[in-house]
This record gives sequence, structure tokens and C-alpha cells, in this order.
Amino acid sequence: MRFLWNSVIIAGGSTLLGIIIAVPAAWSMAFTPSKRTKDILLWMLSTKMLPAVGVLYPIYLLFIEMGLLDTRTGLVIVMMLINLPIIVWMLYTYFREIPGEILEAARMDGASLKEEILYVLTPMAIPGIASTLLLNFILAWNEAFWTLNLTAAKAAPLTAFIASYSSPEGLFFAKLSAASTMAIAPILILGWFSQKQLVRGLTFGAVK
Amino acid sequence: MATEHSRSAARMMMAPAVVLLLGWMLVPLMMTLFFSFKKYLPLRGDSMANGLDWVGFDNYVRFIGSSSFWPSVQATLIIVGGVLVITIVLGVLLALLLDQPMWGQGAVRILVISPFFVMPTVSALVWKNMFMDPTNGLLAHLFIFFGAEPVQWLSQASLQSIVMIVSWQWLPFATLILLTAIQSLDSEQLEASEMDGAPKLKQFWYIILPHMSRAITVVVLIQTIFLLAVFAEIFVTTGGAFGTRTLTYLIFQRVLESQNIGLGSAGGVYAIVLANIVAIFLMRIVGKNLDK
Repeated sequence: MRFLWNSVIIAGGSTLLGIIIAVPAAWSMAFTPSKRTKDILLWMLSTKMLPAVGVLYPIYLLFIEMGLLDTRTGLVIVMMLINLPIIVWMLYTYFREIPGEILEAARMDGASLKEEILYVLTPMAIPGIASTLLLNFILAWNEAFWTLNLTAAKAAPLTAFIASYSSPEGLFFAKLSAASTMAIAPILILGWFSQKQLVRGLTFGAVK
Repeated sequence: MATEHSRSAARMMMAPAVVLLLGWMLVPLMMTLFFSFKKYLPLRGDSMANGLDWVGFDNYVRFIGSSSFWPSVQATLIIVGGVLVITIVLGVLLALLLDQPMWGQGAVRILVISPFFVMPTVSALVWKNMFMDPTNGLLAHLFIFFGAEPVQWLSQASLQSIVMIVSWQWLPFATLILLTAIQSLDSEQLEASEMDGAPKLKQFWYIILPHMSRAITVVVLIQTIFLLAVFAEIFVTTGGAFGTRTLTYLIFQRVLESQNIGLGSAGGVYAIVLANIVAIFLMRIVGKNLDK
């Protein structure tokens, strides 16, 4: 199924890319906070509040110009960007819980910055990174504004494929049901694992 | 701990994320602002290469003046307001219920959360075809069984139907967050009030509800931001017909369907301003929490 494959690539690719970009940022904000850290974090969140429809045409136009319309690459980039604030935010809250003393202890023992990150912090941060990964995969999988507007046939993920069943003519319940199950089942299972992180990720730490 | 060296390293590490988000925010925003002051109808031969006519605030005036503007504001308000009321009221009740110790609590909780993970296009289509269909839908069968005339949900009660679908999706979110808030309540307070002989209702009103007030505010703000942008549910069910054209949908139609970029961009600017008003309040709460 091409659509399933598209969904997997778009949700997976954007999440991975987002994590790669967000980890260093969240890292530096959590461990070397400055006066502006809070402002930067809040500003990042505010980009998430920008209504997508307000920038629909510019993105559409840029996509045509760059030949990204109806390509997986284009959607991976857009999904990554819309979820980046949440990824940074979640990672930040997880990283902040890692006690700074451990770093100092490692430094006393003569660990370099690279060793510090690789052997001390990364193992401690893995659970946080994993749950961020999970939640953002779910969000990207279900996203249905950009996927509907920026894809046609080639790069359409399950959201768009299923939406194409919305006209009553030639409606095949069996097919629709099969596609729907495919779209829901994996996410439902992932979702059950991530429900604890959900509160943290979506309220930006405002509810504990 | 923070040396000059580590500071510059920190800046380097932050740079990619900051630059990307800055670009993602500013470039399209500038373009939207630019288009909103121009006459731009690609289907009638306007093109960027030939230069666009500057029309000042014409698009802004026309967007508000068009006959579909106020109905769309009304539809938006009904959807946002309706879903908020339903999800908050039912969410508080469900959260209270789920907080009670009972058999199979974990399983029940998981089932209650599930709708939130269902892809919006799927849930909208399932509701449309399997529940609300006037001849084959479950609700139609139910109505006929009780001898009532089946309702043409999506055409006769279109807005209510959409409120129902969207509420079904967002109720788990509200419940989950409110439940988290209830569980952080100090049980000693409740026990003390019980000792003093406070009835359950008063307990709820004077202890539990005030404790949840911040969580409720957060839910309201976050949901408002997402609900203002509800799109897939309308796209799949009514396509904006039968009075379900929200502000978001109206802008989408102006931009991509009728290709009136200038007008749509002006609408987009309105939507951005509206969302920002809500966002400011949310940011305040989040920001306060960050200081702790």
C-alpha cells in the first residue's frame, strides 16, 4: 500500500529529523540556561499557535517553486517544522530533570564534553527522547491540514487517501473500513503507551 | 558551570532549531502580509512576474464585507463554544468518575483516551457514513426503531453534527488532563473536609473545582487554538456546505478553490491575529509555570 508507506515515511522521517535538530537545542537550553532561554522557549511555542490557514498560500507557492508539491520530502519538512516546537519543549522538560551534579562529577573524573554527552547524559535521556518520539510520531501521523492540501496522488498519506472516500459515489464500506483500521490500529497501540507523556507534551508542562 | 566557551557552544547547538523556526514563521508571514495588500487572481492572468496591483486595505475591507464572513464567524464560534462546553463539562464528570477506585481502572482509562488517537479523517468519515447516514446509519436505524423520522444529520443539523464529531475527538484530551489535575489534589484536604461533615457536592464545589481551575483554563486555551483551525472534519463531512463554513474553511476556499489570493491572505491575517489573542493568554500561564 503506497499510502501506508507514505504515512510511515512522512511521520517517521519528520519525527526523526525533528529529534536530531531538537536534541542539541533542548540540551543547551536545559544545561546552560541563560536569561533568554525562557523567551526562546515561549517564542518557539508561539510559532505552533500560528494558524496554518494563514500561511497556506505562501507555503503552497514555495512548494511549487521548489518542486516540493506532492512529494514526501516536502511533507517531511513541513511536518518536522510544525512539530519542532513540541519536540524541543518536551525534550527540554525531560532534560531538565537530569541532575546537574552528575555532569560535575563526570567532569571531575576528567570526562570531555563529548564523553560527557555520549556516556553520561545520553543513557539518562533515552526514555525522554523515546516518549517524545512516540508522541510526535502520533501527531504527525494524524495531521490532516497540510497532508490534505499539499499532496495529490504520489505522496498522499493515509489521511488524504481516506479523505478521498468522502464523496458518496462509489463508496466501498469494506475498503474504507480496511484503510481506516490500518490508519488507526498502529497509532492506537502506540497511543496507549504514550498516554502519560501526552499530558506533558500537549500542555507544555502547565498541568502536572 | 557556564563558561564563555560553553555559552557559545550552547548558541551553536540552538542555532539550527531557532533559524528553522524563524524562517518557517517569518517567510510565509511576510508573504501573506504582502499578498493581502495586492490584487492577485492567478486564474484571471495576474502573475508575480507581471507585477501585482497594490490595493491597500481593499482586501481587508472586502473580506469582512463579504456575505459569507459573518456566517463563518458565527459557525466558528458555535463550533469552538459548543465543543468547549461539551468537553469541559463531560470531561470534569468523566475525570471524577475515572478517579474513583474501581476494577479494571487501567483498561477503562485507556479506552476513554483512545478516540484522541484516531485520525481525524477516519473519525469524521466513520461518523458520517456509519452513524449519521440518513438511510444506513446507526442513528437512523435507532430513530426508525423508535418510530421517529430519521434526521439528515449533516444537512439538517450540520453544525450540531460537527460539534458532536469534534467533541468526541477532544473529550479524551480534556478528560486526561483534568484527571491528571484531580490526581494531584492532596487527599488530606478531602479527608479533613469529610471529617467536618462536608457533603460531596460542597466538596466538589469548594475544593476539587478550584483545584482544577488552572487545568481547565489550560484545556480551554489549548483546545481553542486547535478548534479555531478545525479543518479535516469539515472537509470530509460537509465540505463547508450547510452553514458549516468556518473562518478557517472560508480562507481555505478563497485561497485554493477560488484562487483569490489577496482576499484569502487578508482573511489569513485576521485568523492569525485572532489566534494570537488566545495564544497570549496561554503563554502567560505556561510562562509562569516555567519560573518554578
